[in-house]
Amino acid sequence: MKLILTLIVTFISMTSITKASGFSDLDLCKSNDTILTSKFFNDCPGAKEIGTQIHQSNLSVDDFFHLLVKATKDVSILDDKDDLQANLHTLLLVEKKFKYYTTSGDSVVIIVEDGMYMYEKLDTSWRLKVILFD
Amino acid sequence: MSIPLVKNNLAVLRKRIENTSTSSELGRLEIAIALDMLSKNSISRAELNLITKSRVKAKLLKLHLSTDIRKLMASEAIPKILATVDPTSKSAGQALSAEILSVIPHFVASQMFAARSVQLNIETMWDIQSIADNFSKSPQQFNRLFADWRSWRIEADYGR
Repeated sequence: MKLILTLIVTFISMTSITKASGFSDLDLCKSNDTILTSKFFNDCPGAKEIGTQIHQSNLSVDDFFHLLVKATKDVSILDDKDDLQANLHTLLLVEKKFKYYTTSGDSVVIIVEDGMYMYEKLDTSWRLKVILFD
Repeated sequence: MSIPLVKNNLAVLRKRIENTSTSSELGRLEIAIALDMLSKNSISRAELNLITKSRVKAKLLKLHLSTDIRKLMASEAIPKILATVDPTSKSAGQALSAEILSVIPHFVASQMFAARSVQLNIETMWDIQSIADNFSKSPQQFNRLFADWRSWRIEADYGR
């Protein structure tokens, strides 16, 4: 578990650095495909497959993280009319238990039993990345 | 038309999607079928088989489907659909379609709304009367609709 957390923190730090230079790790994936609005990247450095989706929301990273902390105790505080909050609401019900969550730079990361969800703040929206452990 | 009944059917469908495990191939197939029914355009045979083979795809799409149903239920679209004075009017249908699309741009329960039979009928997917009819069914009828669609899609495309 300690190793996984170390790897995650390193991954988050690298993401923050690379985003600042306009570089995305997704550009290094060998191929990608799209199903409706979801984009999937294959054979990426560090991950076999990464799923991504864009969610519209004006929430700041701080606001989103504070909502996440509160919502883990009471999901009813989330506003389902907001795309990002509706997504978090669903995630809380689907995954049942978050093992660990944190924020760094422009990202909020949630670790669950079999994978990781990373919400990255973009200019006017958020990108959700999903990576599953083998 | 009953708003609680429509919302109940949507809630049942959402729960069914949320409770589907993406660890097994059958669970992933269930997600692919639900996606096929709820999306504006049918998913292709290749996409259906890609989803059944990928945990990441199934998991992310499951999250997306459920999120969109949640947003639809929280929006004002359902009462407006049911309150439409002339549900068969083309202009009324187009206006409501635009409204639903503004809430959930890509996942509108269009094909299922229009699915009186197992035949895919793109022309009628914005037929408001069909939306009202299908989501006003009893929970048993509604489940039957889902099961019919599932059987048809599996027979036609799964594993091919």
